[in-house]
Amino acid sequence: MAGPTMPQSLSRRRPAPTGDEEATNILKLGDMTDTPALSVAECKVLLEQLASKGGRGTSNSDVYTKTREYVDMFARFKDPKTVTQVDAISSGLLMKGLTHFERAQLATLCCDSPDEARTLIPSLENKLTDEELQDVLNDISKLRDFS
Amino acid sequence: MFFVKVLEHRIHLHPSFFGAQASDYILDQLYRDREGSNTGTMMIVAIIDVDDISEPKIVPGSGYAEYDVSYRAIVWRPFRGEVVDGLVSSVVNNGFFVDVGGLSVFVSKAMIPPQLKYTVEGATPSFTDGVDQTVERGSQVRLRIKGIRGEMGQMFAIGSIREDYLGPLLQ
Repeated sequence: MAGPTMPQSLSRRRPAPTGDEEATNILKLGDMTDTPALSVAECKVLLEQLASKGGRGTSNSDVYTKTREYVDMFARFKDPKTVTQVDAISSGLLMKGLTHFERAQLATLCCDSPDEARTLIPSLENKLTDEELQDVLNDISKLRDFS
Repeated sequence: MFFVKVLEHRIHLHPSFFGAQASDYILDQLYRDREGSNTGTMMIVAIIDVDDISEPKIVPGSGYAEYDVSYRAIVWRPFRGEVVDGLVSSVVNNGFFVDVGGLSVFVSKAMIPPQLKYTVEGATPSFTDGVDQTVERGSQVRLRIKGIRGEMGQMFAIGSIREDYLGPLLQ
């Protein structure tokens, strides 16, 4: 139906269009930019704490159960103290220009070499030298739980 | 990738609940509505705590009270290009399905390195190169998410293992 079109300023502002978020060489995280990210081990510890606090800590939903099973299986660090140590090591990197996303990815994927880390986390390119990256990876591997 | 995000939710409370335990009812409603929900772009895994419950505003014409609740939650959101680990749930001749938490990712034959061929041994189908790499139901696999599609309540994704450092993980 033809008619005069509403000028942009009079219509309700729409939320920014989503759909172009990506985590490739450039990080475009949409509304998750600057949101603190959790590695799989950190999430496991947090979910256990929430569950043990009682009250409404757990839920019977599909999403919750599957997520609990997932983090239990894939957490590289089982002990909460170790998780805190890994967090301390990787948090030093936030000062050097890494984003929350990259820090959490490093703690989750536990790479052996700087080459592997750069391949799996492409946005890491040019943010750290090989030496710095190898140091961090060594520190994290020492704390890994192989049980 | 898991994030700790501050979210907002609007709750309507029926007048029969106005009383001393109104805040409990609101929290119950919040947990029931949001915990475990899938918005199509992200999944709300667990609510950590509630930051603030606003002053109630009566909705004209219906008598319900409207509250804006601000809370912190653990959310899971996949990104295109992100590398994740997952558990293989089923293998078909065109590829295999991997469960990454609540998301099912499909890795098609085109995204699998050519050395891994589809073989059926007895009743178990698998992708194997005959030497040391096997992908079958129950294997752990590292993949890169190539594309995501979201609808209200569901997410679909496709992934690839056709790159260095991806593929079945050594158990």
